[in-house]
Amino acid sequence: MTGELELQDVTVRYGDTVAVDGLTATLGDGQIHGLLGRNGSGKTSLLSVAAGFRRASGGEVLLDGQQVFENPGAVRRMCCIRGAGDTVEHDWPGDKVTHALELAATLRPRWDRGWADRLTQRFNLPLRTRLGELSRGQRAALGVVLGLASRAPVTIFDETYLGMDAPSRYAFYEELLADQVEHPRTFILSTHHIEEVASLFETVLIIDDGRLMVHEEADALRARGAAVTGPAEAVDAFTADLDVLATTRLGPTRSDTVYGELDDHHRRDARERGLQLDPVPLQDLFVHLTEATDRAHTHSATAPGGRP
Amino acid sequence: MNAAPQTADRWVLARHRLRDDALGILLLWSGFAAFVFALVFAVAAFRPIELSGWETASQIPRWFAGGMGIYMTAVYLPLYIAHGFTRRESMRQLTVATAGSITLLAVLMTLGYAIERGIYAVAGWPQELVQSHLFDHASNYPLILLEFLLLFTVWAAAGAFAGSAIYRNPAYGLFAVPVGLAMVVVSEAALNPGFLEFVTAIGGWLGVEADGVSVTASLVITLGCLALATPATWLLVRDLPLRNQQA
Repeated sequence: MTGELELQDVTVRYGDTVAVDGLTATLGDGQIHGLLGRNGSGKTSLLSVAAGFRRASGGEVLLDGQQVFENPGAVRRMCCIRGAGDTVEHDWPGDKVTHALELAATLRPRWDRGWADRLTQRFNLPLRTRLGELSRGQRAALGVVLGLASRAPVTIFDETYLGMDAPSRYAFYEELLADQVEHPRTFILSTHHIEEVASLFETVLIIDDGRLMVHEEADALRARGAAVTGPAEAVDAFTADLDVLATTRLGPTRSDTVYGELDDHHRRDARERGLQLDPVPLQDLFVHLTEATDRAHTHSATAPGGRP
Repeated sequence: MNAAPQTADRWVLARHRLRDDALGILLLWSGFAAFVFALVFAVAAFRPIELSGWETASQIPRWFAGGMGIYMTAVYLPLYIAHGFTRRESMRQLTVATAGSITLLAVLMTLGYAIERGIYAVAGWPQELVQSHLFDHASNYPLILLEFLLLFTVWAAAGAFAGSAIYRNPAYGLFAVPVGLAMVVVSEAALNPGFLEFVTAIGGWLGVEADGVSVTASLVITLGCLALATPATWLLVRDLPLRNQQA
């Protein structure tokens, strides 16, 4: 019940603005993929194209080899929840939580009504409340229910759970993981709560300025980052040939965040120099990587001969 | 790889829309009819009733038909796309559902004339018509039904065109709304030659007498409006991008 999603040279333009710039990636079936990127990096545009909500300006999206856009066989297998999900909301008597769930039950071929009921109870969603009267957190929880209970082979959550409180978010992660074991499907999670959800990710995509910056197995990506801490001179010598993303100093002590795999030789060298090597949380790695890109942009914009 | 899943009911959208809309139309029409006839009785308390009140009141439902068209493309189409349906299959089923709803509305509006006829007969009031129509008296139900069908069709088609333009880009709406209004004005003028002065020219061109209304001309104009609105709407929705949702 899973699906492999191929993004082939996907480009999204809004007039002169390029939101996604020739992005190519394959999202393996039955995995949980984390899509990370700063605000305005092109995440939502990319996911909209992936789900067939928008036609790509260039390139194409394939689900198990079939084009997604305007293909009933493909779009029926996708569920993309943007924000709190797409529901009719005019605050009319017919626009209640229960009606949004009934609509999904009618239209989603794999809708799990029993699980939807349990999720609704777990997130304390008031069924008889009008959609317009829900709090931000409740609306987000409704989006989560619509996405999870759809059991769509490719389920996408685009910043859906931003408004949920911590217990609700943890309940969401728990439900998602438990269901993934029982009924594997392809999940794509776009989030700003990186560290909180990082343990769920099997692969991580980081996009910046519409371009794919990193696409790796989550464990491999974590192994690529390390914090090197010790006397400033020793750290300086150790990281001289490494890709340093960030540096912090406290008196004579310095800590460099480096990006790149450290082999046994490096680790032995660090021990001999009295340096401490620590893993870098995914969120820190994301911050340093995207900041490094920003710095590179700034540098190229201000450097003599650099193109603005 | 899994076989492509299919919803068991191939017309699920049309059924869903028809079920919801038919119930809403029945409820709204019941309230509307009760209000109109109550108003007629209220007026009768102060002055004699000499004209059909239903004819005057029937100006309002055509706006409702236009609203149905707007909802079809600006609200329901994006909703169904978000729930895993293509634009093509959504539009096909929404068109069928809207046609069904319009037919129901036309039947109910025709029924209004019949109910009014009974009330007026009991009260001894004449059920005179003010405007020109396809029908020349208020008991010519087949032509009354046909006129409402033609009117509502054009209003809904114009609404769907305007709705799709507004959803796609509000700036397009600045162009589409006047075009949609022009469609309904031409349609109204064809059914009521006294509607606007320029109808004389249009009527003459189509062979319509100034003091009468031709069923053929009305059909031609309705089909002409549909021939304009349908491809124009499809051009706007065939690759309609969904607007982003806010959390």
